[in-house]
Amino acid sequence: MQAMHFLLLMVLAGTTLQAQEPPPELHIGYFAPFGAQIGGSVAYADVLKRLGGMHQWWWRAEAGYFAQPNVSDGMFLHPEVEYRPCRPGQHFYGSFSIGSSLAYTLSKREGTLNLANGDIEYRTEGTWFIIPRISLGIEVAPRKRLGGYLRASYGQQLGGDNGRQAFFSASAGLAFSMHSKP
Amino acid sequence: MTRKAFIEKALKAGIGLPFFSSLLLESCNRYDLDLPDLHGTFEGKVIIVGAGAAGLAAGHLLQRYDVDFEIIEAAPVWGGRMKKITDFADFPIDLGAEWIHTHPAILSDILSSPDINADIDIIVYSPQTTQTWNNGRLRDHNYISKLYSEWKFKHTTWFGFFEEYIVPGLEDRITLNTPVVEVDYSMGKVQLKTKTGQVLEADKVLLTVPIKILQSEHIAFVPPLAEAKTDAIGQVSVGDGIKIFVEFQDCFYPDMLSFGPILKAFREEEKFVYNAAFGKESSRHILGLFAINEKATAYTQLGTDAAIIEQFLAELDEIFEGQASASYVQHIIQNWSAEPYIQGAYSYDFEDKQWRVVEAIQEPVADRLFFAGEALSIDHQATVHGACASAFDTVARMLKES
Repeated sequence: MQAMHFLLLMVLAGTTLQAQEPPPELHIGYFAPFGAQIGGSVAYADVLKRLGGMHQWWWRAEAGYFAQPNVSDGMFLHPEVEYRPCRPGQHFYGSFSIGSSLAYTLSKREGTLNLANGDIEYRTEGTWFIIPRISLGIEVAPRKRLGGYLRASYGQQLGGDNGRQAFFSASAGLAFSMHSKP
Repeated sequence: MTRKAFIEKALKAGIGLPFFSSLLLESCNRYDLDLPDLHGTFEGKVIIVGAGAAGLAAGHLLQRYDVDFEIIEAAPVWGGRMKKITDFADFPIDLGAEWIHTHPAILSDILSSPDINADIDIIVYSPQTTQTWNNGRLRDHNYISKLYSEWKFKHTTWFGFFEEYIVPGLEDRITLNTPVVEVDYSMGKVQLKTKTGQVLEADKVLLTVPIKILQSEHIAFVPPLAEAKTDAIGQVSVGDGIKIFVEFQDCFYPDMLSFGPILKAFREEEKFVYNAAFGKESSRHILGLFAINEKATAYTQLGTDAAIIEQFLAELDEIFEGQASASYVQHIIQNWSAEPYIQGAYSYDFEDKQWRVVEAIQEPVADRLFFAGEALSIDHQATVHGACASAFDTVARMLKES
């Protein structure tokens, strides 16, 4: 399963760029899995295909870090395909995306507290997860260089000792137009 | 902010405002309990009434500052709402306070002994499997493990922590089986009359008895306390409290089971069933029930332990399709409402603004009577560390005002 996921990531990352416009985007933002966790992510997005005047398909590859303070730290890779109903020049638009994350979390299960100074030496446990998820978003197209996004995701977290778990997250950030294409 | 209010706020924020919730959760992660810097000149005697967490913490501090003191406890054991049982399972079980509701470094703060050479093992209490029982349906909510976490002791208990690190230094200062029935502060010194007619005398008295004991007027004050103070005492809501531990042959239950809608259950924190062996080095299957307020009354009103366990097993059988009765081994019930010198759970709510109620209760009387306890910690009410914080603050106030 994990191997297939890597394959999907590599395929998406290696997709030949077909569209000529709009230019690719770099997304940097805040990522909050399960609402209560904190994190950040960086993503690269580019047009996969344009259909007619307003139907755009993008691919997006995201990497990020998240943490449940004092409990766990995690990293993820998330390739996805995104649909944007967006006319040329439209500033605000919604988006829908589907993808699957590969995540690794390092969880603190127990620890030893030094009663003299309050320091804790934690014992941790690593777990791999696969998280297929869908996202709904509102995006602001970069005008000149800078735009933004706000998105909510829902999916299923697969892996670990407890099998399937619901996954949800919210993220927000800035979208930088890379202007790298003619 | 009360714990209840904090949890309510964090949950609302966690669902509705994800970008702020982490900040809220972080705010309760580490709480520094600083040892007060005291330079008072007090040379009199202090009597602490109550040997629960607040009373013991106060004694620990007074000893540190070389103040003459004595702790009077009504019950035959010290600990108050901290209690343990060691022969029920293969690990000690907290029959009272169980969770560490803040960063465990608080344990070091409570001891305030930088020279101590000791470690203590703790569990990151983040239940991995959570279910709700709502309208006759059992549902999984395992994502709760990503939203909620606290800490617990791995090999010991809250009682054990005090037993090992605090009480040894105080043991010869604690008098058990000595209920105080009257506090007379009409003269220069405070006189305490005990149930057996004994009269004890001190320059200052620190009352750390549960609020419920003050509410039920087990202790008479001469002259009577001001109306503003008795009104404030009456404005603290303390309901029933019960814990039940059952050993089963199999583990058919999740790490945590709540009743009703998940958000309501976590907001109210009134009834949970949980895997008491979670994170412990144990081969036994021990399930715990924690219930307070009306949820506890549903059990305590049944009167006998036999009726209570029958009711509880019937509930579990309905939820887990008969597995509870089939797998039952043994049980123990701790009915806190039936403890004569406790009479309930812990402070849960306040009829007026919390700070206003707490300030009115905390206000020293004639510079001789002082009050401390879990209910009187503004930020950490209803916790052991809150009781200790309240004790530290009050001792500091007591000695500074001398």
